[in-house]
Amino acid sequence: MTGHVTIDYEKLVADYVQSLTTVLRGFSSGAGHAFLDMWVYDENDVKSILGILDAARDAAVPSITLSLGAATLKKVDATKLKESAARFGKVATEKKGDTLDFSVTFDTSKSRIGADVEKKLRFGERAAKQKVKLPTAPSRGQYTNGTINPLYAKAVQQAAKSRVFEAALKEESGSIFAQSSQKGITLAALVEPKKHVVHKVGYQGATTDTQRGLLEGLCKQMLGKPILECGDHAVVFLEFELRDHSMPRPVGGIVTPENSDAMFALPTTLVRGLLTDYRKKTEFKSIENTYDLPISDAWRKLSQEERVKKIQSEIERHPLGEGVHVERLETPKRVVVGFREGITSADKQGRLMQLEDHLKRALEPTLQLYVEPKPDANKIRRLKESNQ
Amino acid sequence: MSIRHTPHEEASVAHDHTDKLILDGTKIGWHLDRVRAWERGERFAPITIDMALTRACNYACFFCYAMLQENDRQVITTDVMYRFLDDCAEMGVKGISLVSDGESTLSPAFIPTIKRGYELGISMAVGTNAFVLNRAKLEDIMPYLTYLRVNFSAGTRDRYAQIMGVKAEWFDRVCQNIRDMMEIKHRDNLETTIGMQMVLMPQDHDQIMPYARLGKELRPDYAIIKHCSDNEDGSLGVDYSKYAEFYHILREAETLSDESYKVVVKWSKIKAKGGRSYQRCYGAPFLLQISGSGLVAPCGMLFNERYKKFHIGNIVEQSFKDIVMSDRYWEVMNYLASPKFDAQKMCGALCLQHKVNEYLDEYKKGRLELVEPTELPPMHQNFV
Repeated sequence: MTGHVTIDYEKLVADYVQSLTTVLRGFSSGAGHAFLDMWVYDENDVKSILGILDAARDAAVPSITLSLGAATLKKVDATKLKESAARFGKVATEKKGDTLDFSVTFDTSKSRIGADVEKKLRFGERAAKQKVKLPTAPSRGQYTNGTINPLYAKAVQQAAKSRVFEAALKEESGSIFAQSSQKGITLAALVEPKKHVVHKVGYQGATTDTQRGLLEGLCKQMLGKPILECGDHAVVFLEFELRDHSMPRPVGGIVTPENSDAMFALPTTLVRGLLTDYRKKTEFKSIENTYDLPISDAWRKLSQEERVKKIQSEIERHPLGEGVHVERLETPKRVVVGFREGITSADKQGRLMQLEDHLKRALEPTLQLYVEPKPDANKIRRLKESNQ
Repeated sequence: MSIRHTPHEEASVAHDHTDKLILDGTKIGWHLDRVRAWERGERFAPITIDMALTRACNYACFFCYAMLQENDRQVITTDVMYRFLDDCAEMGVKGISLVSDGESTLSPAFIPTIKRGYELGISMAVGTNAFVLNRAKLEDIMPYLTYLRVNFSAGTRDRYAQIMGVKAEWFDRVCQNIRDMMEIKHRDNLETTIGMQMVLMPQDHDQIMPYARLGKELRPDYAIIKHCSDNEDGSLGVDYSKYAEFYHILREAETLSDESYKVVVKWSKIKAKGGRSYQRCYGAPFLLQISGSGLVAPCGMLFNERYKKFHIGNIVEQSFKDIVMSDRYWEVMNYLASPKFDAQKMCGALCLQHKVNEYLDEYKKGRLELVEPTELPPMHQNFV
């Protein structure tokens, strides 16, 4: 580095601050001066200016002039700044209208001086306020003695009426018969041993409508799915399926079958017991579960155009669908939507989740909503892509 | 240890919890109070927050995942951070790492944030390219840091410049800064752990040994070698099957470890080949990520505008305490834990929450028991 350097300090700062929100990679505070790559703007202008001098001295810049504008001079005590800068070498100032040229000729004989190190604070010295206790929700204890959480009551009662799966299963050749029992209730399944898929399932011994409703729901969740997926997630799906989503969630935090209602302990025990029995009767030991809920037959049969039309129509039917349109379908499950101008970011966030719920219920349970991505901003990678 | 496996013949994915410094596992077993709160369905504050103070970076690494995470940017000032840190302390956030999404050292809020966080009793940590961390700044911040990790994805000058998108002489500057870190640490007997971290793309495996040797010369406490994360579309083109071709080089690099310098390969993630054993994401409320734009979203992989439905709020505009207490926050977290979400299909590979997710998923599936730890806590306990 040779030669005198002149810098408009306020422009440098403005460019720096702006670049923090406009530049992604290859950020440079530079103003064309490589030594400024080491400099970081500080909201305290005295520290900021001393930082520039430090970087310049390190890069063997012989002398520098910083042009300080009126806005900076209002915040900085020029006399104190001069005193602080004296450690770098000879300081000179020249007033030019509203601005001050602040010049330093570096003294190369002076040793490098570190920043002013403030007194070390003690860990936790600034006493934190009283710890906040975040609000809790009703605990499952409320629903342990045969009372059902009202969130599930209607769906459980409805399921209990069907009695589709309340039957004894018989062993069949080519299938593995697995079963488990709990308090006189038995869950049994016939599992196809090559893909480990449940192709028949049933239960016996239920004595209440709640048990019957839960087991009807559980069997419905299990049918056609791998036995491992049943053991891992059938009750998670069951809880979600039986819940009335128009009401507040059963707990304030993360909902699980275990914390939402004690009644889910029965299907959990039964289905896990069934998996254990299947493992005992076969060589099946895998815990690798990559089951992906397939799209429904009805949705599969539709053309892409028909799917888009149906989705758009459902969006328009929903009160939050105003100003939302389908951009494209990436896959039969993935829908990219756009918003009209003027819809705020926060509004978009909330609407997307509710519209997605509506589409899942009205059209196809596997649908997912996304918006158009902001593209990968890596110029080198994008250049490579465009050359391919 | 806090984990006891239900006896059966199945191999478990949760392990490596006994090292003094856990670099390839999770420390969530030492935070069972939060795990119990989660189980009870309570709202609780994150244990650790991984965040950035800006999205800008003076480097341009080819593999940079954060470039895929673009969202609406706002300025995180020192005042914003002071309010945020006050909220964190009040709610019981235990550790904040200024790591992802951008180069936080470029922000004027960087040093004040570290000091204020420490003062409030929050463990503070930094992951950085360390280019601007000259001696003066290191003297200023090191006493307040639990760890300082330098991203350093090559072992030679020219390849450093090539892989990390900078001038070759920046390599020398950063090497000097690491030497200064170690000198300050030893001089002042600081507990701050100094690390180097290589994000390894399979095509850059020629740099494994030079990197491990360079580390041995600079002598940080450890030098990590880790996989590169990719998004759900595989935009970075990471071929996870390729890593197996140079396992022998990784093992050779490990042999350079000695009493005060460890070469650590993140085997569990490298061998996972980008796959996940779980479908629900339970880890985000425990280990939350905040973008350098101020955006609060469950994790970095969901920062992009594409994932708007998972975006919760912004610390520039709202109080963090209000965000964490909001229905919106728990609506998003519940989505991730529900049948609507499938981390195997809807996420990129090997996220920050991966090990926490493995642990909690095993527990939810009845394959783990939670037991109060009896051992001494590991180092950096507050960074789960």
